[in-house]
Amino acid sequence: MVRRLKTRWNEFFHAREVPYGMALVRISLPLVLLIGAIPRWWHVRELYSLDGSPSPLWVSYGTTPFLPILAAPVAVALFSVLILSLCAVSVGWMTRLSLIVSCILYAGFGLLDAMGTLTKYTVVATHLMVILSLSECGAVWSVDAWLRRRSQPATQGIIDSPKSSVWTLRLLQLFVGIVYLGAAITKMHTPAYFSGDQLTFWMLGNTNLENRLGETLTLYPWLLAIMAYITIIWEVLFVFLVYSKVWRVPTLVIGLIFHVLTYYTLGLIIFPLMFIATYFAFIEPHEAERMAVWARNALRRVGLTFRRRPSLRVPRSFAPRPAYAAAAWCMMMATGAVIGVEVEHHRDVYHKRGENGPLPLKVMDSQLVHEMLGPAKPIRPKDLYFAFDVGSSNLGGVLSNRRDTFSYGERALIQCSLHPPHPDMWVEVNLHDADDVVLKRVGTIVPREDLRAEFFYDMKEPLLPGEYDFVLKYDGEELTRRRVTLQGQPPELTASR
Amino acid sequence: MKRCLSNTLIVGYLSLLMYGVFCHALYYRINDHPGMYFIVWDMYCGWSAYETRNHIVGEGASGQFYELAPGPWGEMKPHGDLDRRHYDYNGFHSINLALNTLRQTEHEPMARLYVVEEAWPRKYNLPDELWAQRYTEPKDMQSYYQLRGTYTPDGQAIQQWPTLLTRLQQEALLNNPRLRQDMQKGKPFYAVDPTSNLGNVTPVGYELPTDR
Repeated sequence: MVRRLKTRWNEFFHAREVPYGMALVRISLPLVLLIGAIPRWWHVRELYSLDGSPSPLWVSYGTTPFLPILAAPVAVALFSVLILSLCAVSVGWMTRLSLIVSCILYAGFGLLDAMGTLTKYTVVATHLMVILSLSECGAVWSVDAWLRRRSQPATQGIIDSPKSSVWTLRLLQLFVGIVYLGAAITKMHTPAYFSGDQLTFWMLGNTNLENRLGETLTLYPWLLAIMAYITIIWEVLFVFLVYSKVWRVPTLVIGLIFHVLTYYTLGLIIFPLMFIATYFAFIEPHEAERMAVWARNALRRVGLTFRRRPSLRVPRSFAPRPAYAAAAWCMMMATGAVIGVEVEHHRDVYHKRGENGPLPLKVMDSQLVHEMLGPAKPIRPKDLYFAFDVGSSNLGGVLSNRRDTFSYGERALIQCSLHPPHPDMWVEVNLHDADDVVLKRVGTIVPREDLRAEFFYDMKEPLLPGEYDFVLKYDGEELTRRRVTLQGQPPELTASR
Repeated sequence: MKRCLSNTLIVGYLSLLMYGVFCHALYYRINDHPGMYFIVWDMYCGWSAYETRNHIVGEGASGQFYELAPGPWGEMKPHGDLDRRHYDYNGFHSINLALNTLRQTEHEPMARLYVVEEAWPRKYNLPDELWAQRYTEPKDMQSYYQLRGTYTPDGQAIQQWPTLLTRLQQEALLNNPRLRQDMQKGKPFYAVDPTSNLGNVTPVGYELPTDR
């Protein structure tokens, strides 16, 4: 039993293969992180230095500082090194050292700015870089590999791509699965997730990029409820299904769709791109080789060719040694840091040294400020309700069809959704005829913990065919109304003909 | 030796990740240390039906009001179209933004600094054409302002109040006169430190702004 487990463990963690998957993650991850890092370079002084307004994470936790807040030139120099080292990781130049430097600086700068830098993608990226730095991800498709091949004696001939133990690849794969598991637990902790309410309000939020699809989807809350269940089931099962021969591809394709949709529905960009980059770790070596052949052919078709193997021609008198590469890397980082500091200094972020510097403060409209600082206004009744819909069926606790026409004898389902937090409320949904005469009054208590109330009206006698209004009232005030048309003939009238 | 080391790393790392999952699932010490942020995967754990923005205002000795964030040199938009100041949901760092702006600009002496939260129901974020599909009434958005804190010019808190959402929750509960009386019994003389407002506990004296 123990021997079998040991064999399975060794097969899973210590099999040897060419680290194509890790190399692809190494190439793509820094490119994604640079999308967020480069724009922040212009604000390093403000975000991370003593000459700005850093917002360290430890303040939120109420613990003692565990990192120094840097002087502005030091912060700029280190951030410049971060950007260069991310580029070096992507091309695979001094890969391990670049990864270690990137990881430390990326996490460090994140910790110094909880407001504008640190997010869960910073944390995920830190984990990924730690794992990558332990791996042989620079062994293929990298400057390091190219330099290594060039330093081989020319007579050695064609060199096989180096194989390495897959334990870091497995750690990365398991890490992705565990993050999904954690995300599923978060959703389980949030009851409003299952009714789609949480998703609805996130999609209506404007804290990320524009998300028009998300805003449109909020009109179909039943669809969000279904998506909520599919997402959580997929997140829980991911780590188990991704190792199945049958389910691997469908699981990854669902993941891909899920992450792409978070861009269109929630306005996220770096988080989905980063997770898509991690999916390269699930590519099998033979699939990666096929992709490489396809890429090479595609390049050839557009007239670009490059040699993969070293030339067997005349031995070169100069072959770059690892020491040269390390020295060049250090030179590049130092030069980048110095140029960064100089450029940032001349940029004069706060405009203190210019003709008009230091800048004056912007004066605010005093009427607006008095409104801001004045007594807090009570919430208007019409801001307490979120939606008022009429239909005939519900799915996942939310109305699944909105209707404005009913046939004789049908039952109308009227749903009123509220903006939390709201007080305990007495809510009425009254039926008015086309002349606005109240025909029927129905009310219910909505306790503060409930997000919606439902009302039913049987569209039958004594109602006659025609137009009616369902009127939502709270505290004696009409909040909104929905018009419906009742079609068909009452049974008595039909019988009397 | 190498395999032994890698096995140790595998077991150690996976144990750390599973500890994070365990803590997260059972709410065990998740706010103990910033390190927990690196192993607890609680993305999108909160949600709000209100869109919020932060305003940081300085009142000069002359009675003139000034915008202290963003600074006059411009905005920093970290995740989309919003300035960085709007991502300080708990109000831990807003006053630092104000102090930095004051350090880097020319201005008259300040008398008071204010942090104000603006909020409106998120249904008003719907574009007009989608609004017309869902609502029969015209769009009539109104912002609600909630004073979060008053500070001295050097950033010392004088008074602090909860967020609008906390206020609404408290108002819903405090319709109970007995509860209101009990809360008033523990009201301290000094403003409390906002960092003590961890988790879901409201520090005593951090309740409704009834007397501002």
